[in-house]
Amino acid sequence: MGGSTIGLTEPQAMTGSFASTVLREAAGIVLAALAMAWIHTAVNPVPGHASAGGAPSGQPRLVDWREIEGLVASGAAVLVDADTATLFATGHIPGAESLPLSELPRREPAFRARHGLSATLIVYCADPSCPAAHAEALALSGTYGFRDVRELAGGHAAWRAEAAAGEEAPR
Amino acid sequence: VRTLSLPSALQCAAGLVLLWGALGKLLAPQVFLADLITYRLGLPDGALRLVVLVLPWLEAASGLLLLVRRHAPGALLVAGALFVIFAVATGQAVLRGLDLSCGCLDVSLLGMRSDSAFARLFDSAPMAFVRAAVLGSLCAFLLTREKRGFHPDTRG
Repeated sequence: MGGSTIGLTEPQAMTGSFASTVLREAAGIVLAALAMAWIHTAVNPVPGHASAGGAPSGQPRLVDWREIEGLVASGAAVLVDADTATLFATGHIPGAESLPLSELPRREPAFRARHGLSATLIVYCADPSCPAAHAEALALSGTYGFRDVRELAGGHAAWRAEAAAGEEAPR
Repeated sequence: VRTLSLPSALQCAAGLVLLWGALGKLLAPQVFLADLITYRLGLPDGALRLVVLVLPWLEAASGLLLLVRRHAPGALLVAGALFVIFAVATGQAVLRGLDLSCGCLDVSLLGMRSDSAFARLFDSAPMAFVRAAVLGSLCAFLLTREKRGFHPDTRG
């Protein structure tokens, strides 16, 4: 059969060959990317919550409530609740301002106009497992240029535990 | 003097855009993670972290190959798939009315202020959607062109 390869016409054979070449090369690129990601992870920490006792450069500093209680009480720091407005309504640290992560791009200009880029911001969310505070703290410092952004370790849950311990402690 | 044809120049441009995106994400993975969270894609935390780890390297590998014009068909397929993913992610954000920073290309790497009006427009979801759609279409066009000029005997 003139012009055919294993029962296929020449264009069909060429199309099949091209498709297999493309897929083979693409698979190689994906494997190379996975290998680089694996090496990168081995060298650098996995993105996630900053560890207590010191933040890597570019990451918001993780602080506990006792460290910033005075700043908040004196009004020298702004407490920022990164949870949704619904969650904020069900309970929040007294004096905190609601700035839900999902609404950050829309509400950030007004927030910046109120407090300025040099304000000390303490960002928190519901508990240690919620990612919103860390993400919002990163966005505020990295994307929006706020110069002093800190993340409250343990979030609202840790503050509640501190408050409960304070009430039970003998005076 | 070797001159670059228009399709080759466009291929290099797509490669540069991918490398630019990859560099910004690799230098600030936490900011990329924060941007991903604001997309509200409904992905679990582990999946988001996997995306943060792997996606920049996919961009870097395919971008580099497009730039040096090696293994172009495979690189165009990966790049095209990435641009389709970007278009879907930003498109759904636009449709849902999410006003977010796309987190695709870091203008500060070009020496521009990230809070400037241009940066905000450039980084907006609608602009990112248009950019991804155009670049995705470009990859599809270049892949079709690669197919037309494909000769099995000249490849391994």
